[in-house]
Amino acid sequence: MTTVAPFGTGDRVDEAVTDLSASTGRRRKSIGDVLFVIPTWLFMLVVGVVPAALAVWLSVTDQSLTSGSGQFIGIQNFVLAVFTPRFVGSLGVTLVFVMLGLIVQFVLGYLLAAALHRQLRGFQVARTVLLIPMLLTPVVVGLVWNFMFNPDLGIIGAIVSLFGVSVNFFANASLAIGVIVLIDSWMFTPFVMLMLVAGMTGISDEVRQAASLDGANWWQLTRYIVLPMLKPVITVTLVVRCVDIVRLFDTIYTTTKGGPGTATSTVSLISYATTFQYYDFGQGAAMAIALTVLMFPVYFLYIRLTKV
Amino acid sequence: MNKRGMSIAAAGLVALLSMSGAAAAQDSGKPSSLTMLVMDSPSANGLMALAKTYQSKTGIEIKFVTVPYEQLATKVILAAKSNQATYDLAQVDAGYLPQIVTAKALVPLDDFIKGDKQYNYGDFPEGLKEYAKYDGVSYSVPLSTEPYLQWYRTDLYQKLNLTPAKTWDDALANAKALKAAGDVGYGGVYDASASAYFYLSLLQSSGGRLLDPKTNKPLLDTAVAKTVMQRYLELAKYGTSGVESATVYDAVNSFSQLNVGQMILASGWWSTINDKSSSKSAGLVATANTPLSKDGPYEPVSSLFGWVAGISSSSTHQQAAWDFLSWALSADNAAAFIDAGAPPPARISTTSNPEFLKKLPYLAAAGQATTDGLPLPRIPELSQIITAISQNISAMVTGQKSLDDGMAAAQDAVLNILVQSGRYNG
Amino acid sequence: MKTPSIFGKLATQASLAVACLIAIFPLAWVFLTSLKNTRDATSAASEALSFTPSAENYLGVLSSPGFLHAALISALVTITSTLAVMVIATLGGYAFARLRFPGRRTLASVMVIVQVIPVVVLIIPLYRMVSELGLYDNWLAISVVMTGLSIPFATWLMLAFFRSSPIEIEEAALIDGASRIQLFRYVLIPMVAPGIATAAIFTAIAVWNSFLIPVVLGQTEAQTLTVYVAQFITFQGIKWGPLCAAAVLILAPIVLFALAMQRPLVKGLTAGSVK
Repeated sequence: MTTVAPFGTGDRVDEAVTDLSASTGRRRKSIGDVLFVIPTWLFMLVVGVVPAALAVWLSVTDQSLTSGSGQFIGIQNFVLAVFTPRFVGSLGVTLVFVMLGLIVQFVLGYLLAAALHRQLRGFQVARTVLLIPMLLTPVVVGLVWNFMFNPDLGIIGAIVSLFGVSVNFFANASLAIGVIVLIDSWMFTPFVMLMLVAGMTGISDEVRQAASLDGANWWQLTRYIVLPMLKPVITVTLVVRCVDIVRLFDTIYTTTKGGPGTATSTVSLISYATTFQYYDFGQGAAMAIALTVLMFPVYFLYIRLTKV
Repeated sequence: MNKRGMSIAAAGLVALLSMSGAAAAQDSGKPSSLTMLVMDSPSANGLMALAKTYQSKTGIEIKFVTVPYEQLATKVILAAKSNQATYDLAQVDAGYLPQIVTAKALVPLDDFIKGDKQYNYGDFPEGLKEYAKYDGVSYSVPLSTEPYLQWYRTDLYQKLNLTPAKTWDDALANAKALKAAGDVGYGGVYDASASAYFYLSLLQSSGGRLLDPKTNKPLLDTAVAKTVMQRYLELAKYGTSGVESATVYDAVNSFSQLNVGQMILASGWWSTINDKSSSKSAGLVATANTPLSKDGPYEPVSSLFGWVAGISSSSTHQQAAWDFLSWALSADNAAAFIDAGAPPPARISTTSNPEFLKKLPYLAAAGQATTDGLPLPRIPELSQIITAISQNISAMVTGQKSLDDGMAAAQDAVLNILVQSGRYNG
Repeated sequence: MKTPSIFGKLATQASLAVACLIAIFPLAWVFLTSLKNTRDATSAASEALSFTPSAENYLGVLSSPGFLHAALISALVTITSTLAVMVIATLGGYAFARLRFPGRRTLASVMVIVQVIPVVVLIIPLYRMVSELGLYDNWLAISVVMTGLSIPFATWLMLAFFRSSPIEIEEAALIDGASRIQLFRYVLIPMVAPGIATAAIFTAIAVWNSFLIPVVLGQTEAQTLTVYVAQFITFQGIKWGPLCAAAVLILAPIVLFALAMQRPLVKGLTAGSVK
């Protein structure tokens, strides 16, 4: 009996590409198969490779406003922009967001997915409602939460003041980071939940029931059966979320703008400021490229996991 | 050649022709319409109202493209790098003129201004003429004149028997009195992105400057800079509960919705704060010149801000664009801006006109500020400097850095910026 | 038969209910604010419910030609991008899953890099490319860029769905002499329909809500709803009333689309596990 699960069980994903030509006995020219990916290649070239190459070129020139086509200056942009305490600091902030965000979103996402998976009464409604945070325009989400956290006028400020204290969430570095993590989690835990639910559907009930008959409790069931079977889903979702949190911009820009001090200044924030506020394209590109390079381990992990 | 090939060739030919046409003629005759990039603001509303009249007068339609504030300078600069003429006129923040001019995005206007009787350049105070220039050339003309003024609540001051501050010590005393009475003593801005504008205006009004005018050396390590920062942080103690992260909008909001006794703010917010439909403080507000104190070696002055308008260097209708600007910004049309709730360009004739003074009481202060006032240093590095200083202000006000550490860090950051750009030679 | 779970049914339901409340809460705030005039909209939270509702914000937004035009552009861009991504990602996902084609490693690396690279670094070169080609302020250019940026994730999704569908059916069909087109139409697409639906939802959401690309590559003719909404963040402050009204109106189509996609999504997801 096979289960048609969206991400398969552990061992199916470990299989190499299933080659149809071998099983049907028909010899198929692999050249012709390239046709399937020509559109993909085209778009990748136009939207990805060419602009990225241009960006790399920008990063080794002094292209800002003061020079026309930009003269080659080697790695000077990298020295000026990347090997600085400011950039390294922003890397640290980015890392903090990634760690906190992933933990919160995964724990919550898993619990919600498990709850939905039980398919109790009304779960379709819950599933639809829980989708909504993902659908709102990010800029609006940021503005709305920013207002809600306003100590004088916002609803959260009002709730907090009921306890007799007045807290300005944006005046404290840790709280400000917490707010950003909260907003990002509010928006994207549904995504994690959806992916995990899809994965859970692929785990047959018989396996669970067999395990529980053997005397396993919930934690053992989760740890030894469910999580391993969900590994491919979890890893893909983890990587996607990690990448998205690194790129996080709108939420921070519409709330703390990198403050208080530089507590929430991530790499994407300072790269944006360098490109669009100081108009130093070369340095902005250098920062973004440095970030991309630093993320190489993540990509390789991604490619290995999806076993391309 | 088949049909398809013909049509492609034809399209290519047309494209070539139009491109070469654009390059050749800066003025291809009388246009039917002009495009202007604007920010959603009372000044833009004034221009839009005037544009309607202009169209019925000359038949030329002015199309307005509203761009969010953050993207305005970007769009202007990027357009200079493309070979498509995407706009003819633009409303810009004068603080961005250095970058915009360096990108060659705007046309020098001196030749247009010279001899233009309708525009009447002589009607502008020298300070304002300088305001629209960069490197001694007029790349723009003043669109709105918005000095930072002292704003106060007439009802609260009456209740507590206070008068608008003449010096910064007065301001501090007022703040204390207001707080003691349960109101907010000072509505300051302390966020990590724009608080430096307010700090620097305080600095200028206390006899300090950001940069040494001769050497461009940053002066944040001087005694007056530290005194003013200490004062600014002190004022935060009398602020709203959200003051430590307050942005300009938060400050304006608080001033409109809560009982904030005084604050420093650009004059252009007048129409917003006095809008009965959205502000609880409407009609209860008055302005005065900023407090001045002599804590440093320079002349204490107020700070000039405001919009300017320019003509795109890639426009093919530059003369027509100037004609519109010259007409819209002439003395006769100042009323249109005032009616739209916008601060008009502070012509001498405008700020001394008794009728206008009745409608916009702050015009007198605005007029004086343009004579006595100074804008912040007009250099391309300004936005970077503002961010660096603002981040440190935010760190200091939230207790992450001490006053000494914060000032040292700010001075270091600004030094770095200026040395890197070559503006200061160590 | 019962399987153990950490909480009883009641606790599970309760936690889901709380989660739903948290999810809805900001939206409720947005909706409430959309019915207020500016003065009420920025007043303190304690006065949040004391206002007279009015539809003036909605009327204002709906009657503005800018909004309707932006709605059209957003719809055009989203629909074309989503359709294009569906086709390209399904073909690509199939190729990665079943075919040995030359350059697969290279393509995979390129796709991952495109997915991971910050958009900030691509945007200036893209602007230059677009304006050199005379395609500035053209919705098609925006659509092409959004399609390209969405292809990688959608392809991986389809790859995963293809991988977990039983290959025996495909083999059987091919042995029976089915052509590639027939294979796709009658076998593959029905099998990976939930994958297509999932990828469609995620792509549509991302494109519909995108801001940076449309704001740099467009101006008036190609203004999307997200850029339109940004104009309510004025220099004088945020016009909360119209902003929230516009936000609700922008939310509506994408919610409907997500709902529409729920059934094929669910059908496929649950079909397999019941054997």
